[in-house]
Amino acid sequence: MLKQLFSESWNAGASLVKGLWVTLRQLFVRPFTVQYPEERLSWPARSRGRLVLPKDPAIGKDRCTACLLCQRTCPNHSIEITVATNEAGKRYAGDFLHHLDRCTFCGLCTEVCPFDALRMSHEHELAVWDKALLKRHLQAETLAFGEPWDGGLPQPAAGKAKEA
Amino acid sequence: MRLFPETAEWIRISREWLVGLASSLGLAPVVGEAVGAVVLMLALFGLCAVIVMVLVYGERKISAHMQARLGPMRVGWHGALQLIADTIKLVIKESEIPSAAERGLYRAAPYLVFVAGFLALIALPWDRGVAPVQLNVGLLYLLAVGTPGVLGILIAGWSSGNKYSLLGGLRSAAQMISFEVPLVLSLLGVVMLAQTLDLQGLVAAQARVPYILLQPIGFLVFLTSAVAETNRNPFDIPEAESELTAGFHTEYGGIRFAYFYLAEYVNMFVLSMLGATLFFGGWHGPWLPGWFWMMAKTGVILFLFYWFRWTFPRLRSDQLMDLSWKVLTPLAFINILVTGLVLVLIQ
Amino acid sequence: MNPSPMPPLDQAPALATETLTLNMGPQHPSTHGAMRLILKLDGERVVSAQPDFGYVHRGMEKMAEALTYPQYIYLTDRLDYLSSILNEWSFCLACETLAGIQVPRRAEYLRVITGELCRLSSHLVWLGSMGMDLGAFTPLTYTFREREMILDLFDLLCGQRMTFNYLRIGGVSRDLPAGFADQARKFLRYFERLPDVYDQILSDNAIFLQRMRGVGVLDPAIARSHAVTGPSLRGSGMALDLRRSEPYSAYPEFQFDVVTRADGDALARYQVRVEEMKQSARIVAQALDGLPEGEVQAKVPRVFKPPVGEAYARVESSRGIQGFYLASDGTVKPTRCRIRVPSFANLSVLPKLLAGVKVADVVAILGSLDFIVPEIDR
Repeated sequence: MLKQLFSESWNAGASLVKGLWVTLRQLFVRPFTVQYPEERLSWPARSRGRLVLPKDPAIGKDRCTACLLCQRTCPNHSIEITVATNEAGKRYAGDFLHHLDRCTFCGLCTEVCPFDALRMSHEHELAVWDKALLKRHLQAETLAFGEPWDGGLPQPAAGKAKEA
Repeated sequence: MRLFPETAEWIRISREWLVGLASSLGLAPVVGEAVGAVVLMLALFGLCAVIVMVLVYGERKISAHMQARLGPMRVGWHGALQLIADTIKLVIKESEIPSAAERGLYRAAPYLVFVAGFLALIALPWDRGVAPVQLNVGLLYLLAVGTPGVLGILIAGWSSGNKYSLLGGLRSAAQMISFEVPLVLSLLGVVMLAQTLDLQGLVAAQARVPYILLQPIGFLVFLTSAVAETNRNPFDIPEAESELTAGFHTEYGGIRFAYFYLAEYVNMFVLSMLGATLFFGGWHGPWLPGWFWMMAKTGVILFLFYWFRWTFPRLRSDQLMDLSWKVLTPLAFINILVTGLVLVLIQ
Repeated sequence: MNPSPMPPLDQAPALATETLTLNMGPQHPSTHGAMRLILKLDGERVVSAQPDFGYVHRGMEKMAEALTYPQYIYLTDRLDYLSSILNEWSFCLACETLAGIQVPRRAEYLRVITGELCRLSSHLVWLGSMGMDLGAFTPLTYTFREREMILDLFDLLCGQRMTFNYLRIGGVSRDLPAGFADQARKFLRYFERLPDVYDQILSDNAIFLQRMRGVGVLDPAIARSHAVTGPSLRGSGMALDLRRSEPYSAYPEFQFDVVTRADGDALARYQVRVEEMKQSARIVAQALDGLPEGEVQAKVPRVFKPPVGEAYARVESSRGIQGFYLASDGTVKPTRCRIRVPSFANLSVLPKLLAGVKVADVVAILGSLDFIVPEIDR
């Protein structure tokens, strides 16, 4: 019985020492923390940040045709498009209003857009003091296709084909 | 040959200077002594605050790196001034008293807890011949003055009018009373070897061999009980934040909370110093001044405290009692028995 | 030399004592969210425990009636937020059953990969918080570091770290990006040695074993009668795992063990989950190796209108059986959605498990049953 007692206490002690060894080893390993505002991690191409309506360099404006698919797809009604018609009778988005406060960044709008006019940028520091600033009129943004943040979604021509 | 003059020399000189000053002003020498005592107390209090800051900063950094984190990094170089900022925050914060609290007791408890740790600090040997107060029964004194702390915690737990606090206070009382026994018993072996209760004498007796080599079991029992006495993980059941939110100090905030915090670290420091004194040979060490060796050895034990806390899970209260009464206390008795036998055989 | 046991409290000499009612929660570190336990305490002993919940009730079932089927997928992420993919999976499975859609094989593999990674990350979070409940803080930071790597993988795959919105009715939203497979394999290689580290710091630790062994023993009969599922049930020795017993998706094609432990205590549930992490890693490795070519999305009409009818689909989620019941009236929105969540059923054994234990054991039992409060409240 005494022998068993000794072996048990020995094992218990050894298990504690093993645990101590793990933490001691970690003491000399570089910490995992990233000091956020100074150090930043890179965002993968598909990361979903703020919604943007980028300019197409080919036509000098956004590609939106005000088909309202995104508006209807959005589960939170965070997109509000004012439809306008130009001289040729073609529809375009007179005002593309994005309610950032309702957006959950689910990405359904960008997925459903048949003209690939909508993208999710990598902008993510979106906190503001004034709630009114959360109503973003996307056409005022100047982002353009082909910029570093852009590259997540397939081009419309490529359709659902496999990505690289 | 030592590189620095003995600290004891400095203290003797300043004391003589104070007494001389008092007599030259036409006052009784006792006035000089009294002023000296007050200055010493204030200095000790300041030292207390500094020690706690260093200890807390050290703990935060060590625990952070053990956890693959960085710890405080923003205030000052690598967060060195974080503790100053925290202190300011705690001092200027409003200390509310909950409406269900027993007001007088609620106010008194933090100071009671702190004073217990503080009183212990004055008898410790900081260097050869240096202790704020020299006592020939220093060890006995240390063990005695630590006791009101548990009273303070019990009062805090009860007077807060919070159920978590009450549970925490009761747990603490049970825990500290049971661990006082093995703690004291574990030190008896050392006392038997040195044949004295005087802390300076105890250190002097370790000039050749530190007692950790002669009393390894005593040291183990002492270390375990010391961790339990200071309510630290794995024995932090009075606080046990995953069970009792913050245990006995759940309802405390601001400066009153700061006193609990101070007391926890001062207690830890006192017990570490006690360990360094009794088992690591105190201020003995080559070349460097005694106080350096004392602090270095204290630091080693403090690191053990940190290390345990950030590695182990917490014991349950009944398992804690089992450990104290069924493991540590018998071990300490065996230790005493063996030490006594060996001493008798040698003579 | 057995010490004479303490007489039960009701036979002890009369001493005027009364029980203490302790509201543990809704804000409490160990309830892992806004849940309340009404504990009646006799000293440190729990006399009775009654869980009270609903603090984060969002009306998820009712919300389904206002949204179209594809619109609802992103909301299922917010049920059990640690295993989002698995919630999406059961919802999509219900929709596919309703409309009779065949999912392409590559999509099924992608679902398995993401689902098992999700289970792995969920168990990692649980492992860390289990340690923290028992007072060991350090495992939490380690497991969160590992989980971060899984989240990075998801970030690469679908652009979000927790609310993925990755699965679609009839497939998944996107194929694997370049470099995903390599990074995933790298993680799996890294993960291989981790269980040993966890063993060293937690599983083998004498204090930890003392706290977990024999605590909160869940009798298999009680587990069955209370519809407990998942690792909590398998810890009681019953090998019920939908991936094996009711195979869906591509699971029949993979080698894995259904982990069980006979003891039924907190330690058994703990061991089951730790072992399941290894099995999940095993499945992911197999799926990455055997990933077939092809489409990732079946042909589904843009406006998804299932025929009139009803369907119930369930998957083995990280915490047990997670199921969606959908009733369709032929329109784009379901007329009724009912969600079967594992945490809710697992919670029902709490009063039985908690009666008579110590306060400290309450957190061990809570931790070992692994609840997610938003899932309970829905």
